[in-house]
Amino acid sequence: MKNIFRNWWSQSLLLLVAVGMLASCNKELPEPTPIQPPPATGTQTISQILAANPNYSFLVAAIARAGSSLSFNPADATAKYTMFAPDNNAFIASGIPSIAVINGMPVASVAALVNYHVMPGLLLKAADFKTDFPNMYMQSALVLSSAPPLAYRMSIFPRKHSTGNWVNNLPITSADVMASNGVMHGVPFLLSPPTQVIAQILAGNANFTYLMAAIARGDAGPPPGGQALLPLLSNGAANFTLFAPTNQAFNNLFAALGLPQDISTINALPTQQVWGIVAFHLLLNKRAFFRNFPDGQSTFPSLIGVPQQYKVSLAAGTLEVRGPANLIPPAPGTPYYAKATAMDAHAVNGVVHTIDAVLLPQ
Amino acid sequence: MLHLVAVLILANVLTIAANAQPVTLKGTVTDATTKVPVSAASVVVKGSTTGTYTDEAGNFTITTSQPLPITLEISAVNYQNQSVVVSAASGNISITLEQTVALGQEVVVSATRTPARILESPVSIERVGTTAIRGAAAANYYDMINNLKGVDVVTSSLTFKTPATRGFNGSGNTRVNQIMDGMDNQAPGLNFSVGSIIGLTELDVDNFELLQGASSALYGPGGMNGTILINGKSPFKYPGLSFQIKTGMMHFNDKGRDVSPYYNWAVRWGQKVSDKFAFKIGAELVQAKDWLARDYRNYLRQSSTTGKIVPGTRETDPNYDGANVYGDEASTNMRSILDIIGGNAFFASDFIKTLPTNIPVSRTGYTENEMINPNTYTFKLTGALHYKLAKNVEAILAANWGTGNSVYTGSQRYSLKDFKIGQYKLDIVGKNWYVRGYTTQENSGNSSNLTFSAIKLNEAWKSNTAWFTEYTLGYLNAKLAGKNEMDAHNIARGIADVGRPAAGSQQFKDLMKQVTSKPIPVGGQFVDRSDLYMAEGQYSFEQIKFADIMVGGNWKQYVLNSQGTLFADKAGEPITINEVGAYIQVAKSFLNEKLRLSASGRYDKNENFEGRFTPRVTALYKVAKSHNLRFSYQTAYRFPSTQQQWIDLDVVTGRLLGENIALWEKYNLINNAPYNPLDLSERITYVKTKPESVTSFELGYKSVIKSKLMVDVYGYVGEYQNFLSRRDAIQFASGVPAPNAPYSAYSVVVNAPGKVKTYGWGASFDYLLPKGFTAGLNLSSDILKDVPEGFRANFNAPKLRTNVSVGNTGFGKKKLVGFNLVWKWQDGFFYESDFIQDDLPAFHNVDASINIKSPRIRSLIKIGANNLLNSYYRNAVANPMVGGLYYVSFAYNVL
Repeated sequence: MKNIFRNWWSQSLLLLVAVGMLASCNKELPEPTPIQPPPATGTQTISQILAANPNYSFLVAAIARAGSSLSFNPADATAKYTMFAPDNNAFIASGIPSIAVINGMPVASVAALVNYHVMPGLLLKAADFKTDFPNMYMQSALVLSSAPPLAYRMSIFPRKHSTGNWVNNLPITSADVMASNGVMHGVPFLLSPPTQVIAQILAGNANFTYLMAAIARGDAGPPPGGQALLPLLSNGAANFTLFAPTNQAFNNLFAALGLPQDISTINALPTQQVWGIVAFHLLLNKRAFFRNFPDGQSTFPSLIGVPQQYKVSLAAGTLEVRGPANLIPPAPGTPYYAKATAMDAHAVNGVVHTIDAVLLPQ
Repeated sequence: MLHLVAVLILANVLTIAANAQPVTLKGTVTDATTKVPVSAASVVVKGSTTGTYTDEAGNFTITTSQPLPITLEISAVNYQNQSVVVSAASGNISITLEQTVALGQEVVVSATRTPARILESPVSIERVGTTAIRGAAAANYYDMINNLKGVDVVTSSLTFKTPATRGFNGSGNTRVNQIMDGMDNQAPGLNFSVGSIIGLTELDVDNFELLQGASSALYGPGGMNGTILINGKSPFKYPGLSFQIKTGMMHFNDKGRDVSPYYNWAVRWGQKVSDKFAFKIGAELVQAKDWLARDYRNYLRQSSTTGKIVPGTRETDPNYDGANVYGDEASTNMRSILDIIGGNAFFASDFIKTLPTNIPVSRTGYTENEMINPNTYTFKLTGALHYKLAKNVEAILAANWGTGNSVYTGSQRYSLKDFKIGQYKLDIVGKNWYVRGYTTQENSGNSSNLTFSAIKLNEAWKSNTAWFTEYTLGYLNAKLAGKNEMDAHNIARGIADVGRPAAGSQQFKDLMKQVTSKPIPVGGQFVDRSDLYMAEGQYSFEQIKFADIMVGGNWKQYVLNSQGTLFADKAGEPITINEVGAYIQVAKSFLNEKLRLSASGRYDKNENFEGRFTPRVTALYKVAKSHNLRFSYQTAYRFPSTQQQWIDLDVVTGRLLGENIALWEKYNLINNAPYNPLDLSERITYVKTKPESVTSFELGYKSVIKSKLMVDVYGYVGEYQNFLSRRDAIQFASGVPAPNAPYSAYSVVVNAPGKVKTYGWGASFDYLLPKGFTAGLNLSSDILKDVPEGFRANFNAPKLRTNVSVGNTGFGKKKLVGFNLVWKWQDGFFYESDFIQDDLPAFHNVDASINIKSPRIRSLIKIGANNLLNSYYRNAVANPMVGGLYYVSFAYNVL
């Protein structure tokens, strides 16, 4: 009995030790676990989707033509883009009837064109388009300056509107084609990147010589706190909406005021007054395409704070605008609206609507 | 009953008187194997009450009135009993004793402050004696505590280990008293016990005892979860030169370090100059490359002291904050910088609006491996002068001084560099009394907080403003180039980190030196020159026969001196805290010595807190010979530690504040009370904290069955209340909470509401096998319950742990070979601390050693391994991974 007891103890104890030693090793120190990136929103890249759809053969050709001049890579599955994707009909409607024409265009032009259809770094679904007036002031993939600290790109302007989603002045035709590296929205025409700044558009149009003279007159002596306007209108990183009165509009104003209907009249007016009148024609940091205006009547503060008043019919395609002092006599006067005779002249730094009367803030 | 005792005593006196024909016998007792004198052996004349003990040289003199021949019965711990018939009074009687392993015969002191056989201790106690230390399966005697029943250890460095029993462990635990040769070795400013850094050298340790559970009643505030007493060797008893050379190898297959040596050299010299005067000096050096904490998992901080491990790496989480990565605690929401950029660059403004409102980003940190010099060392220097003022009165003047590099874990990881601590005491010990005065002088040297140092190093290289701005612009540019979120972050980090000092480069070293030489909050250094002064005394009333009565008292003063870097003191204006205490213990035996009852009580008063009385009642009932039942009721408590009283430390995520009202006033927290960040409708007002206390009941049974099997089982319940804890508080500059309103975060000390219950049990079985083999098994369990919701107890104890051991003190032809093998396993649990909280998985570990004695040169060669299987484990989250340490040692003059 005693022996059994002894053996039982010794054997079982040794067994226990043996079991302990044979037991699996201690747990390894856990390594940090990487956070998995959020799941891709689609299974195919933008490149793959485009390649698979013959309606996009022009765009595919344009992308191929642009090659390494593109600042984005639609085949990069890890990237994130919002692309306004023109199908073949959009190319044709925009005056590019064939792939051969694309291949005949300079690479830089094709690259600029394609780059301008992309908003990098975000995935803007149709529901994410904002309704704020006039639109979202976004950056395209068309790089204008890569100087530090922050690169500057050609701006692009998506907007949700009562009539649907728009980009610049184009409607979105088919929304939310999801790719693993972004989202695509269809557009009926090409988004042409502007090539001129507002100052260049004005200088190149004989109808705006009075306006240019007025800008120069105002810049000769702006009111305290007022900046010279020409440098702003020449600055590619700026952003304006300009209601540009024609020479005739100025002459009409001079006639009503009993002044000589001549460009020289401008230089006879006080500089601060001229500056104020020109500045009243500008919306700062807003690029309001015709389609961005609310249907019916609305107002929005101009560069000098005094609101511009609008009367818009989206259906009829009419845009009218006035200032508080645009009145038809006799006193106290009937409100008078200047009519936009040409709209959506797109500049690098803004949009220009030609109007047939000078807007008067007071 | 009393009458009966009196009659018996009288009868004895009469017997002796009647046979008064004294014979004086002289003799020497030596070890049969090693030929070494056996001291403290009991020599008793058979059939009488006459007896004596051998002195340090094994000599005894006994005078008896019995007629020759007589029989002397000699017994000593760890030796077989021996009987010798003496028929002549002339000459020297030479007696040899055979070594054996006896169970339950050790004498312990700490359980009752008076010597008693361990078998008859009224409370749970473990003892480790010289023989066990010599043959231990441990590279260092301090490591042996690890394998005692019911003990948990937190290893925050090779040289920094913190034991506790019955839960509530953590690095720098303040709930266990560690008393080394009568001196409490808690660092007065940093609050951790410095047991493994200073104090006795391995050669100078005679024994140590561990009291599990609450023990304030005898040892004063603090011992809520145990008391460890380490006792040195008297130079009278252990003279001569001894030394030990231990060399090892470690870091095999270590992911953080290459294989490197371990050195532990110790020397001791004791000299008995005369019968009255003896002295000893000793030194010990431990040097190695430290274990490495390399938990790089992502820690999401929810407040200054709470958080959780979440997925994420440096590459996949811009706000990554690695557990053992420092400097990445500095974090900001990039949104504020983005908004500034958007306000200047209109063209980017709308794009910036499409980005998330909350983009937290952390700076790039450095790993612990990169921050700390891997060399760890401790150097101890000890010395003592012993002088016998009278026959039973000895004066001891002792000094223990130590310095070293180590790492410990508080609310962050701290690099202790050239840390120095000295303890100096004067002891006068009588037969039944002592008086003692000592002081602990702490000097934190060039120690620093790793988190702070890294944050300041980063800032010294590149300011946070510059770094975060570069990062944000880099991020924005990358985003606008079409990069996805994480790629944009990584590009941004690459840009902001251009030219970042590489760990180990000269630039890094220079910056490190710069920041660690400036105290917090400018740099990462903490300055601590705090001191403790203590005077105490104890007296046992021998003349009172009615019962054994003992009284004692102490006075203690803390002088907190951190020059404002840790505490709310100022340079030249340290904070003092005074504490006084007194205790009494009455013990009495009943029922023919079958039942022994004792009652103790202790009163302590800290100048900042109301006085506390702690009672203890114990009972020991001898069911039969060697079968003892014990019961105890005791309370224990602790005053808030010096840090809990006076800390004033900015820890980036908030400010840690002590409980003293002066600190609340300093930050206007009285007039503008802070809010609970989780519930802004709750305002946190100042409430004076109370000492934390525990009430514990324990029932135990200890027995030696047939001299072969020793069984010790216990069960206990404890109830903690007024738990000292921290909670987060945020103070709004305006006094009213509002979204995005500026606020300051604090972590304040409070008594947690409600009571927390613990219970547990332990059982150990030690079995003597033939030929000197022993086998042991112990199991223990500690469980916490009734934890209020949201309450973090830092319980840190497994539901089950076990040690299985086998050993032999001497086998082979001449019994010169011994070995020990211990397997330890403990269950996993959720580990909590101010530094980190996460699951700690179960782990196991094998320690083993084999030794060969050479009696001729009184030496011992030992080959051993800590963590024999080299299976890396850690016993606390975000603390080092401990692997195998394989060593060989030669110890001279230790037998």
